[in-house]
Amino acid sequence: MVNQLSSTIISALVQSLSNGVVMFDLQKQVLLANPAATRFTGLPTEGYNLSELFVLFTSVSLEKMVDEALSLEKTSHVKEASVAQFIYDIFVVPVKDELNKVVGGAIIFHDITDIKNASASLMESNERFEFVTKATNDAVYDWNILTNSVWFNGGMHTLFGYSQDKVEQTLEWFQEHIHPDDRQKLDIELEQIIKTAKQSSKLEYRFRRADGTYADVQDRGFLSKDSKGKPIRFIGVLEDISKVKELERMKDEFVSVASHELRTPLTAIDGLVSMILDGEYGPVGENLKQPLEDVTTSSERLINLVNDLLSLSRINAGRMKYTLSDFSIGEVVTETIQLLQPVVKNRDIKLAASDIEEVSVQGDVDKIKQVLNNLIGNSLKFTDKGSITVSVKTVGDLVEVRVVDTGIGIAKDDQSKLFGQFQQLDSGKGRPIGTGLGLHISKDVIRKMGGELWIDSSEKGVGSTFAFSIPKSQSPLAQKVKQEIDGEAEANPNQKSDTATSVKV
Amino acid sequence: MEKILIVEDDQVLVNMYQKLLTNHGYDVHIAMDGEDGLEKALSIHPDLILLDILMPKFDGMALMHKLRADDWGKDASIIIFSNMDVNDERLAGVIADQPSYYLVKANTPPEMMLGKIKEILHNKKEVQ
Repeated sequence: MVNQLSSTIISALVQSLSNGVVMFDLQKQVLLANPAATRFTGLPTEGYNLSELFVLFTSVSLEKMVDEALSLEKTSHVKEASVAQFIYDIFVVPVKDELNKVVGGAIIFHDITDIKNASASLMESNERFEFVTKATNDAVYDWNILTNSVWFNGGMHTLFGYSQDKVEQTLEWFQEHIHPDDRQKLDIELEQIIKTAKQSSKLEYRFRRADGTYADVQDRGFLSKDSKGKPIRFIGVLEDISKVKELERMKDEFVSVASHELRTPLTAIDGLVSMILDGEYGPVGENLKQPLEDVTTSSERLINLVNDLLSLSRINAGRMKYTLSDFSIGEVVTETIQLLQPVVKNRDIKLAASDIEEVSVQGDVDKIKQVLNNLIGNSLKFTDKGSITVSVKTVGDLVEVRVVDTGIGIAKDDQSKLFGQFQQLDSGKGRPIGTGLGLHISKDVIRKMGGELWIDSSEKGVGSTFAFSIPKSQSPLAQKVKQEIDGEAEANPNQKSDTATSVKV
Repeated sequence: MEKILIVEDDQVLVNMYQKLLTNHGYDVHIAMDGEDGLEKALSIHPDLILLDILMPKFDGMALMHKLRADDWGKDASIIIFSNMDVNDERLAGVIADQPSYYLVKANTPPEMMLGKIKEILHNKKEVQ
């Protein structure tokens, strides 16, 4: 067939090949080298001896291959010959004339440098992936969203006890092994991922082990989209958090039992002393009134501490529920001050609101009331006479509430300690007053609602100003906070609100 | 005199509440476990029951549930008073049986307790 095609066509073909072609005669003179070959070798298109080529390819017995082609009519092939930073597949073939006599030969270079590099890179990448999935204690999954097939790594065996043959690589199999109570949560999340092309996902649920027990699992994954933005793949890890959850449950149990056990004797102490002072057990000598009142103060402190411990336990576990609404902060301040008037009735302190800006804020009303009560309560503890004034002012997207007292003030060194847990400060009367957990909890709670709580100023002998901020209703900050809190509520159906005293049914 | 049944297993608290309520003119009856509590409730028909939760034999929630199945018991006035964390999961069913109040003992000083009792008995009288 070669003889039938015109030599011009063949010539054009050879010139355009991406493979390098060097044709030579019996004297090993180069008759033709195509552009690709000249690119590879740097040698001209014709008129030189192959020996110049042999010099370049020292790692390959090119000369031997050429000799064998010419004398033995042998076609030879060298795979993956490295020359400088390139890699070639090299063929050497004899060329015969119409009489089947060898008249020369051709060396053909196939540049496989890029392919080899890509292949090596891919292998390295695969190896790395293998190592990582082996090294991690997590189960890795790769969900093909288009076919709903799911690849799992060996983690299915090491974490959950499934032998290779027991694992079906389908989404359905996976879904069937989720705890029935968590199934809906997962299905909704999967739908979200597909519908909204949600970039990443984090979800906790229970997954059934091969032995039938359930493991608490944290699933974190990332979405891969095609060029049109359509979700095609979701890869993630399943971390077994059963131990952590178990510890959490044990801690909750402990807090629950401890608080109950502490509350019972405290009820007796506080209740009995209160009844004694009220004369329920007969008249009480004047000399006993003060010591008995001191017993009451102490037992009340302990009771508050237990309440705070329960709150803190809930906050720390992320199970504190926040019910956000838009309300007038001025109204809440006025109402709180009114409710506290009986406390200052017999004291030389004026408790009042001043400079109240009328503005709507977003927050959990009950918690804001608690924080206000906490701050005013602290002021009452540290103020003998003078005033406690509450003001409200808008500063940008935040609304600041200030509680200013004319109390004993707090030394600079003590100020930094105030927000830690279980802090006690010297009241100057020789006995430390506990601020307990109040400020710590207040700060956590305010932060959660998007604000901040701080000491504006405090000077020993002059007084203190405590302040907290909350987002203005409908502000971007308010919206961001609402999103976060709603998201957490969805992920944590166990959240509870904080009613420590009584529930009217 | 109005009859109040206190169902509580802690002796010290029993003495305290008994003294308080007797001083304030109530006819006080005591039961110290769930079984005794149910029996006394059904035989005495008190005007108000102060019901603790954690108790021997069966707990306050089970008692309330059994009581609500009774003809008289279904309308009985009950204050659940306990020292359990209000948010404890075990209390989830409490509301369904309609106690008048759920009080945390440690957070309810004697005057507050008396106030709530007076309020319920007063409302009850009005209804009748």
